Amino acid sequence: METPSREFQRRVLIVSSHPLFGLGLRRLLDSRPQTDVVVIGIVESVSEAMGAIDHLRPDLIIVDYDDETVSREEVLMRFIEGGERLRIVLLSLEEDHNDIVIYDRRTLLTSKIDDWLAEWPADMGSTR
Amino acid sequence: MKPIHLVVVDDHALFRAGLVGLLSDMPEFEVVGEAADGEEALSVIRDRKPDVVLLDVNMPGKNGLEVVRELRPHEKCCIIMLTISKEDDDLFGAITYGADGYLLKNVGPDELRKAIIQVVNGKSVLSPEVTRQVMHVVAGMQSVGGEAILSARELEVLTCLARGMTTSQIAGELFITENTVKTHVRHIMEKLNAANRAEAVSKAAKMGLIRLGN
Repeated sequence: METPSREFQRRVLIVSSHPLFGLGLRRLLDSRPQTDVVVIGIVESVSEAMGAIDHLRPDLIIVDYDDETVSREEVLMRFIEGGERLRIVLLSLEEDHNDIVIYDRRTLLTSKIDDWLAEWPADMGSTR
Repeated sequence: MKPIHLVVVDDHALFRAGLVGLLSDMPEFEVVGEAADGEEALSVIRDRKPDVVLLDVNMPGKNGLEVVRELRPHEKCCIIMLTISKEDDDLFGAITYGADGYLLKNVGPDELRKAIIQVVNGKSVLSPEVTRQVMHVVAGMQSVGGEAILSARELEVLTCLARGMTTSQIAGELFITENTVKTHVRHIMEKLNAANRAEAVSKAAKMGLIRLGN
């Protein structure tokens, strides 16, 4: 049986082959005063992410969309068009993407992460 | 031991915040300033006098290369470019203007930590991914056939030639006589085994002695 704190824990998976970005983002999330967010893993490719999704069951996936080693085609095919209900945030310098919400990494602040988490439905963690 | 003072310059707010966080966890360092663009970087660096600046290349407004050019030679701080760019212009521009290191952003925290300590100790650092480009250029310079590489003044004259300047214009630009310019041009053509000025410029560009388009 899960404890209440575990029930509301937000499980975040980061997809980036740049350790400074991935580890830096994890540190930012870990250092939040709220303890409801845990970074469950950092993976370097979409295929690794697919394995991690099965094993680790993340609630939110943050993708370094400008990372050359992260195939955009694969991101779209497996994350966006796939059958699973996944909450994805793509971070990019590019602004023009038709149907996907992309955050401009130049202006993105840690407070925005709080917004994502605040927007998160309370039952998201248990019903994905 | 006194911590090494760092300034972190990057226009990506989230990356910068993460990087500052990682560096703050390392006991050797103290982050004394941050900046999101070139103008702010110059102001913060001049004010805080860090030991080492971690400097992004591509930023809106004044870019990282312009920051290096303006800081040198007056500011003594070490400068490490931290960028995703493998472009020749950025790499060789940074080296030419006096950067102490050129690291790609796929570097790990521990490698970055070691690199910072190395530049403080008077060494230079390059990401393995860009050393081939540097070696290629150096190899080109050696292929001059053992003759002396161009002198600093000859390189200046050659750069002026590449910009399409006439003998008279070069003399005015470098505050030397037209005859001196002609002598330099003759020496350049001899050293590069070029039949004329255009060929000298073309050969020098191929060898990486100068960059066209600047």
